[in-house]
Amino acid sequence: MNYLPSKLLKLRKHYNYSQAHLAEVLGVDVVEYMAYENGRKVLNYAQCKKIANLYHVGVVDIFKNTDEVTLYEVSNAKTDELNIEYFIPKKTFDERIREFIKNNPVLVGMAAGVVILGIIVIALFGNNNDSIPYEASLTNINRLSVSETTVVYIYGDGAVKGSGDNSNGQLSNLPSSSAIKVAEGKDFTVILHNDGTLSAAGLTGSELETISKWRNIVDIAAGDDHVVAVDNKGEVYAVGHNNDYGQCDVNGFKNIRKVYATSNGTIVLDNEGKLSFTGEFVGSSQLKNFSNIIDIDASNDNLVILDGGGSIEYIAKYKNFLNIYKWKDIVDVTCGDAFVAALGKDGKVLIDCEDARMEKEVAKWENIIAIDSGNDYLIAFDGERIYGTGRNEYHQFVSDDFEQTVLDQVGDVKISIGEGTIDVSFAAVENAGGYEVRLNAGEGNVKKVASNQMVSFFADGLVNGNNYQITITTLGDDEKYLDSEPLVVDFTYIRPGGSSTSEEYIDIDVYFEGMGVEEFKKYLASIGVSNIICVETGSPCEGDTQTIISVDGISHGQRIARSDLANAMVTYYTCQIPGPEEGNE
Amino acid sequence: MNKIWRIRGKEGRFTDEELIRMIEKGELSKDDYISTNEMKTWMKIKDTIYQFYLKRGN
Repeated sequence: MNYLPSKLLKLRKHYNYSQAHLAEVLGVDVVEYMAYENGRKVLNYAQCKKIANLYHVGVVDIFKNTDEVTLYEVSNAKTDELNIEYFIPKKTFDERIREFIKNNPVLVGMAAGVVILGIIVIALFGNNNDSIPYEASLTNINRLSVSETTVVYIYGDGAVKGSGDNSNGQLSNLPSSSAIKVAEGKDFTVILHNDGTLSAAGLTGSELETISKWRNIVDIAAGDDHVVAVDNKGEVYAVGHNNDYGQCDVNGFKNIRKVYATSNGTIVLDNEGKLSFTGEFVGSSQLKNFSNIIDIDASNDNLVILDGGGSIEYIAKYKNFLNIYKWKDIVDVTCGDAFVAALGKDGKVLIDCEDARMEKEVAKWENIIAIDSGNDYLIAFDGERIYGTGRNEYHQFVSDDFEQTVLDQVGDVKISIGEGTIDVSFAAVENAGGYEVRLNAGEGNVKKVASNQMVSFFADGLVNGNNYQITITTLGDDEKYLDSEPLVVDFTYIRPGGSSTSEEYIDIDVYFEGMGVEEFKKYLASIGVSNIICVETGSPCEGDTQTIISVDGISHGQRIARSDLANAMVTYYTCQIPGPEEGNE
Repeated sequence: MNKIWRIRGKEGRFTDEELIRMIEKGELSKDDYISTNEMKTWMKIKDTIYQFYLKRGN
């Protein structure tokens, strides 16, 4: 049975979405979406992920063919009238932000960036400070910047080092001093120096020439192919690709204090704490709903916003991040496509995502002072060491938490046929959590062992001269190590002291299930079986005839030597003819 | 599209389309295991929504 339709319907109704909205999320027309809901078509895996993100459940919850699904409480479930494309929490900011800034010194990690790049800065806000100081007034701060393929660190002395993809020289010849901020594009790195000038690695030609002329810069950001900066008078500059999106059309922005970039977009934060944008951006039309913002971070699908009260808001294309409303005293935020993370005043990192492994890894981190993320990985910095979790394709960080290894198959398999047993031995596999050994001779012939000890099966049911298989799987822990591919070893069972040659064979071509007991007994006699055990089960027979339910010892399709039949022990299970009902005696 | 599917007992990674084709052609049965890097365990095809593509009796 296909449970997908009922599951899709249940989820959609719970969240009060229309079929049109679901069709839009999946990138199909409504007719096609209806086909998924009425069972004429099945979602592919990528679509399952989109659905899972939208409904805040694991992708397996959708892909698994059951109608069980988690329905989260939705206090702010959207309606199509409210918003066709994006989920916008209907929570608003208030004066707490200003009050909090006045009354609380707060360590704020400032995250800029994008999927592709974020910049994290640690800043200390003083008492009686209504405005947020320019970052250029801050010195000797360790900083961290993350793009999709690189991680760049700024040390206290202004030296810059990086790890990850250096195919375009974006990590080469980085400055050894004076850097106060960096921004990474698709294949270049831009560095802001403490004198308000910029330099770059991996950037050439007119773009390099342009940024080299900019002066008194206090903040920078980079998209895939553009650089944006703001000077100490709040003027914004941009250079790079501007086709199709207009990400470099920044002339209209005034009194800006911070700049951010997405792949093809530019976002600016003004001195009043309001956001504006140009180019491509996920929640562009909703930015006007927010004010008094301290910091943001953006990915392709999500925007996360930090307010002065230490709590956060978000705009998301597909997914709900409902856990973030439980978080308090937040000083830094960041997001990827499938997660939102925040840094608390206590140095702990909080994450809302569906991946238990990321959650588990993040829970270990302590005394963190900055976080940042790429699309699908999260980085944290404790002043001395970089921690990371998630996709690590370019070895941007040192971590093995996400690298799964499929274990090797066992080797040196030996199958010994003993007196009444089949004994299996094999060589150990490094990192194995155990082994499953299976003999294909009826139910129950599966054994799990913790080490490569010898495994024995009783040979009672085996037929002399028949071919069998031993299948051995090296077992992983389902986290770091995955089960090996099963190793299948064929062997022919030759009973010790017996012979498989010069035998007369009989093909069992009769289905026993449902056969009358008397008819079954006659058949056994006709082929020479004499060792017979009858087990009457409690299952009532349908009529007056006692019939066979199942048979052990011989089976349909089996070829068996006549001599083996003579020695075979056949057990058959029958239904029970109902007796007189209780109380009728 | 990236090849994402692993099939227990087969080497390589397979796209959605390749996996579905193998199921439809009967090259994979309901008891074959499949997984992706995002799944923590193997799943039998019959336990997934891709059982939709299984031939009757396969």
